[in-house]
Amino acid sequence: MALSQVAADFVAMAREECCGECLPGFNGMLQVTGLVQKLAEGTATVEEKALLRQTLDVMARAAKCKMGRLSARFLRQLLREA
Amino acid sequence: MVSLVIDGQKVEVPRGTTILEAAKKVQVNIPTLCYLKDIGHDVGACRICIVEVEGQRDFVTACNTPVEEGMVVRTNTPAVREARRMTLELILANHPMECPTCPRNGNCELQSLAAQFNIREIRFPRVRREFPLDDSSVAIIRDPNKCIACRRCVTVCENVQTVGVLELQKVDGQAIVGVKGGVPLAETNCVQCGQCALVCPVGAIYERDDTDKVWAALADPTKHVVVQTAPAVHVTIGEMFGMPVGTDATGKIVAALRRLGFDAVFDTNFAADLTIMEEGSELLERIEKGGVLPQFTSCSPGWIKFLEHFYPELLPHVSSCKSPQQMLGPVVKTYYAQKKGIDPKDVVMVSIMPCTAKKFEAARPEMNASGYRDVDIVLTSRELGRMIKEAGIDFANLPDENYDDPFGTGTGAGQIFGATGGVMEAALRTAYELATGKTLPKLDFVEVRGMKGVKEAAVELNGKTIKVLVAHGLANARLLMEKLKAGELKDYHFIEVMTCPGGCIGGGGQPIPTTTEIREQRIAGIYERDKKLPYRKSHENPDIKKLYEEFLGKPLSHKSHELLHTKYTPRGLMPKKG
Ligand code: SF4
Ligand code: SF4
Ligand code: SF4
Ligand code: FES
Repeated sequence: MALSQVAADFVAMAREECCGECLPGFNGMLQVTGLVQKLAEGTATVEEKALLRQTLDVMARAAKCKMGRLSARFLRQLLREA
Repeated sequence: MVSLVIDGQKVEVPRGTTILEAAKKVQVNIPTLCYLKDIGHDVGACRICIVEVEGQRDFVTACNTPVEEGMVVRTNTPAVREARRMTLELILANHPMECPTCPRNGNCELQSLAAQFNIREIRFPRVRREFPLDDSSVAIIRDPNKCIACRRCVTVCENVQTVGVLELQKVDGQAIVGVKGGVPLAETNCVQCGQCALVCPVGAIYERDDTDKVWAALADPTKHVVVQTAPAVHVTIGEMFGMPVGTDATGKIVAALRRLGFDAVFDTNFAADLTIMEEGSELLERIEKGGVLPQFTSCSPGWIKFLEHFYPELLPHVSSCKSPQQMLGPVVKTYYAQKKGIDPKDVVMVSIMPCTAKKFEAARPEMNASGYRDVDIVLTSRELGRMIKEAGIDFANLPDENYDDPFGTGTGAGQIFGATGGVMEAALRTAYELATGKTLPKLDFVEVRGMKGVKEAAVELNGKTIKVLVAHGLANARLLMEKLKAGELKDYHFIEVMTCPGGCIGGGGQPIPTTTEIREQRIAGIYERDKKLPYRKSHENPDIKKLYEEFLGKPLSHKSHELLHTKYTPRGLMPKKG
């Protein structure tokens, strides 16, 4: 679970640093925050884990800024190992 | 030319074409949400238009990515569909789903996309938004809860109108558009033009709805409810009832208003003719007596408010004439009320306007020349459309009817008030003939027509060349004002400014969508109607002649000044600092 906590901290940072101008980026980070939180608390369901992965997949390719896309890619990798 | 392949179809397009435009050539409509070609808005915010390009890992946005030689584009892969759906779900998770009670129900780009993408569930938990409604201003209401942060309104307010009161803000972890400085809209330089409402894809900016007030007046047996219809509305309202863009529906509007229960239906074209008589005479007087020139037109209330905020020192240039709607009101509450033997306190004057700023104009405290409000209630085209629908009137199939006396005749000159350049053309038609006593050899001043931002013309008047300028959209107006301040326009006599691009046919209260193409078709409808009308010069309008004979005397008479002319309020920049 330690990795999930790192992920949660990372999301908080990414929300600050992304350009905040695109919808999948901004709204995506908003939802990812909640989902990663649940993961860190160990309460995420199988569906929620899948949704988190799908969201990150979309953000990794569709977000406007590099920071948004890279953050999504990084999180996806991190969570694969969690 | 660049050749590429989109969804397996070969296509050749000029360099610089976007993927979005190229796709249309091979019958592929890529969905968009934030993009708006007309105002050059391609910030790439919504990512709905994403596509796959072979060899690139990330999606690209079709609306703002130019084609490249040999590109292979796929617009409809499982990954693209999933990304678009997810983006929509992410928006909807943040959106109050109030469609049945939303002003944009049935004409909302978000709603349409949700339907197009067959969205049936939202996989994300709903994020609650509880931002307060900003209904501080007379005409424009902002509901930040519905804002999807596409920023079209920001671009139109900043670039097209150069007013610039809106910006993207991050509030409580949400991205929404708000008013700069966090103040209510009423405390800003906002000119109430409604161009933001016209481009908003959703119900986050809209006009104040005054239809309830009109229903109430119509239901009150003690009230004599009079209505006037603006020239620009004649050729636009049909769009709300499936008629082709630019159709002249004047006769049907009259019929519909009568069925709604109005006691008298008058033509604002008549009032526009009255404005021309007064404003044309004022121009001739300024030229003769060495008054402040160039004279500015005064019929577009957003433009007036713009000057009051940004160029108060130029207000002496503005014609003292009220706008047509504000001229008809006091004439109805005096001359007409007397003729009919009605107490003016029981007369309710309703205007059907293409314009949100007309609501602001009607509410200006000084607009009560007869002792009663000049105009009591202003409805936009959209609001009238709603009333007609609510009443169950089959608008498109109504038989045509004629306006009521004594203000039932409007000329073609009045009709063209609805298009950019129209006031100028109407004024020239009359000023020329009044000043020279000769008949104009050619009625059509085509130089001042059309969508070009700034237009100019010249006409010989008794050996003197009268030079005129026409601008529409406040960015173009600002350009002229800066030139004037720099001393460049000293030899011009008359400047027409319309707040909205295209003039009133593109007003902030007009049917949505209003695009450049639609504006052009509406303009064509305006000039077609001008050609068809029996009178095409304001001073030849028999009802106008009669009004002067029986009541006003002559243009610029004492009575005219009392009822038809006004003063302006230097406001300065807002919010005030310190
Ligand atoms: S803005 Fe559109 S989607 Fe949102 S509530 Fe209104 S109609 Fe529905
Ligand atoms: S009404 Fe006009 S001036 Fe006011 S915010 Fe909208 S676009 Fe800007
Ligand atoms: S208010 Fe409307 S136009 Fe402006 S950003 Fe929000 S959704 Fe877009
Ligand atoms: S339409 Fe292209 S990013 Fe919004």
